[in-house]
Amino acid sequence: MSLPVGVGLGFRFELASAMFEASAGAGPAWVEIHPENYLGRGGLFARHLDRVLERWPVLTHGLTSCVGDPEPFDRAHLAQLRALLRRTGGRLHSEHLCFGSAGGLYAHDLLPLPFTDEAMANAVQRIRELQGALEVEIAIENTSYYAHPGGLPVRSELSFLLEVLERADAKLLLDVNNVFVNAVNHGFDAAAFLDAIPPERVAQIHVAGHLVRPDGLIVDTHAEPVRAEVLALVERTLARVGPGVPILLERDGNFPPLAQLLAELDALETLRSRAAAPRDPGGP
Amino acid sequence: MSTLARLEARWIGACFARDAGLVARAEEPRLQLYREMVRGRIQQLCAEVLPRTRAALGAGVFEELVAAWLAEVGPRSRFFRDLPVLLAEHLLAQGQLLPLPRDLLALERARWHAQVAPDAGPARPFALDAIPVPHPSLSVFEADHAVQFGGDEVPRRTLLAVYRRPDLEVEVRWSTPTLHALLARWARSEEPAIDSVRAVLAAEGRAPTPDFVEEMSTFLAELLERGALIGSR
Repeated sequence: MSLPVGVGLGFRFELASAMFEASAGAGPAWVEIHPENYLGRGGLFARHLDRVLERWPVLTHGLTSCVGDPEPFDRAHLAQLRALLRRTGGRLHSEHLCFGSAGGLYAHDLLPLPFTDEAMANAVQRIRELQGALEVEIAIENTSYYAHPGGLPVRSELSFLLEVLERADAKLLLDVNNVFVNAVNHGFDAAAFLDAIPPERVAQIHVAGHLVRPDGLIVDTHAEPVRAEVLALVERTLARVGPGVPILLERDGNFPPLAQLLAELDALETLRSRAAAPRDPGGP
Repeated sequence: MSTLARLEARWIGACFARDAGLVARAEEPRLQLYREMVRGRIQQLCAEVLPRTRAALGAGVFEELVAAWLAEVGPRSRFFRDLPVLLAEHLLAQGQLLPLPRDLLALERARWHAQVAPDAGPARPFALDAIPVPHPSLSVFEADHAVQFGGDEVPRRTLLAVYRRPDLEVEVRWSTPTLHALLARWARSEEPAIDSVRAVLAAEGRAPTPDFVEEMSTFLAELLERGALIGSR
């Protein structure tokens, strides 16, 4: 099965009724689910998953098998995850370049990695383990971060990210909002960051809204509309990677009516169409 | 332990430690931001799932109990949905809550568990001489208050069962001491159903009268129809 095409929406319980009620063709082209919301869970969530699989192409995005964690993967969890991936029919699964647990405790959040050789070696090894255990292609998402654990890094996020992908031979789930957030918070050029990513590495794109705090720090909340600056970066990215890379709008809080999210999907689809249009050789 | 593992363990530990002052003085000033985000999400989920317990305790006491659990036990499940159940089980095992918040917590734990528990798989035939199989969502417990009615928690010994029906609705059932004792034994799934009947009647010094047999048969049929029991093994 090939990757879904077009603009998708993160499937969330809060949006489920409206998404199911929307007429076919009016909703997203595909959806992304978090496997942890469904593994070992019955009831309404299990029924939702059945309906999702009947209706949309699905990609999976994990929350708790972070490739920066310090301890070995839970093999039983990976076996359950593999079974779910087979059921969804997806050939790409994504996880985060961060850590989220240690000593049996789960933060249920994405904690920042130090950009060190040790963290890189650990991430590369764990990505390879995931590739072997899940038997699908693995994409790693660049995360937002607000701190440098252990002190200022000797290498940049970009060089860390690219070397991890290269050494693990993994795909990138490129979160464009995270690039913008990190660029502002840490003072680098988001466009230059995006331009340095090899297009062939990008398997999927994430887009979301963020919050600007009074102190100027930008927080990746997924609870606001996507900002124009981020849409401009998405357009720049699509011009490089092409319109065939699936784009996902993430919304995890402060849920508006579905129509508002569908309007955001339309805006992203417009950008995608522009990237698909043949360029005027006489144009700029 | 590697340098990376030590660093990550320190960060996770700082997220759940009681002493926020220590964290604030840590070398990474933004660690406090992560601590607030991590703890805020867990506090919010627990408040949403356990609202009557929180109201009975008061928001400040409730948040303090969540903070104490985070520090002493911590969130030891990869599934976010499990955290309110783990918190509730910890607090109930400690046995330090007053009766009303304890009863409310037991009910809200059971209701949330009934919502999120795995499905049971296909129904099986039931036989009295075989071991009953409860639905994974089933909880059976006693309360000192009639908490099942919501908003009118009169002090009265109440025998409750909570489970998810086939239509996915969570049902709270209360019953007589004899029927509750029967269901409690059936829910443990350790002995043939008829042995549970004999044990409960023996404990009460009763004989299986026709009225009892009729009452038990009706009760059993309802449990099977409404999904509290899924059959026998």
